[in-house]
Amino acid sequence: MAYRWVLIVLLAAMFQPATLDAQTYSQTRPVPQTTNRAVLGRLALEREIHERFAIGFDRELHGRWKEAAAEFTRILSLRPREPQGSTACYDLGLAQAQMGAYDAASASFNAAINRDDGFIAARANLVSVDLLRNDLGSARRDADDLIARVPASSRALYEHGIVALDNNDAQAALRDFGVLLSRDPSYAIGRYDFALAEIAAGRLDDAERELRSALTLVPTFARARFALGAVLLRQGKRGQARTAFDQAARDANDLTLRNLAASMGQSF
Amino acid sequence: MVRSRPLVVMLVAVVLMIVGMGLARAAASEFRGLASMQVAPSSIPTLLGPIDQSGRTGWDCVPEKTAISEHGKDAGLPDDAGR
Repeated sequence: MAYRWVLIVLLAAMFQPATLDAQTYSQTRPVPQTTNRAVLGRLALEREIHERFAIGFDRELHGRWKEAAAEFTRILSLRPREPQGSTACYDLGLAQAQMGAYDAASASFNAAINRDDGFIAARANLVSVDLLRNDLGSARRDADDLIARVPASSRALYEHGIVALDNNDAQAALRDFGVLLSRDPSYAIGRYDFALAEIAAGRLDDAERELRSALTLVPTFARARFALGAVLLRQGKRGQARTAFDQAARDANDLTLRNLAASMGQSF
Repeated sequence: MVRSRPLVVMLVAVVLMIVGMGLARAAASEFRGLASMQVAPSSIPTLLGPIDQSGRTGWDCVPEKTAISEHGKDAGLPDDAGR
């Protein structure tokens, strides 16, 4: 009798894994439960959107922007629902920006925002594209919109600060980079941008101190070294300025900056 | 006529000196301007990456989280100071 019970338990244990496997297996392509032409058409459309999204996303991950753009353009022609609509606009904008089609990218990111007002990634990329297009007016407006929605976001503060510097708005740039630096005082690029804001505000001594701080953090920061040379030159410290330009010429990887720093060091 | 020659030479020297000083000042100003022009803000952050069809509110949407992050290190800000 006991032998029979052991056999039953063993048989039950043998079949248990198969049961578990069957439970976790997902049916990715459900069979339509209808023969209605309209319903079948809608299901086919949703399937096409789903498949094209998977392909487009994969192409973007692999930097195949042209193929990705074709997929997302097709998806948008199928009038997807949300969140697929705004996401397709976003992904299309990303592909267009990577291909250098900045006007088209701007239109796509704007379309994403029109469909989903709270789409912060689209807003952040839109500001970057505005700057790449050198459209300072739009950059200003879009950066203001971005920071109004996420005032604590580090990326929003950085982009708003860069736009402020490009627009010679020293006070806004000082505020934005000041907040960034209060969170991360060791961010050398933030110190450099803060120094540029101080230069724009006419505070050359503060700018010099800030640039020296940035250079303490990253001694080979050639752009900061060059900016220090420019500040020292404006302060009339020609000898120190020449030393800074010479050092910038040695540290710079960027050929333009290296040549400019070298010629500045030799010209006075 | 002969007596006025030293005066003319002196006048020419003064004019040349003034022109020279003006040129030097203009050159110095040009250098300062050139240096200031090249002091450009840091680079634009790289674009946030693709989002799959579950959208920005989907599970673990990295671009949206990066855009919102309060921490500089998670915000994908430029970090090319030493390059």
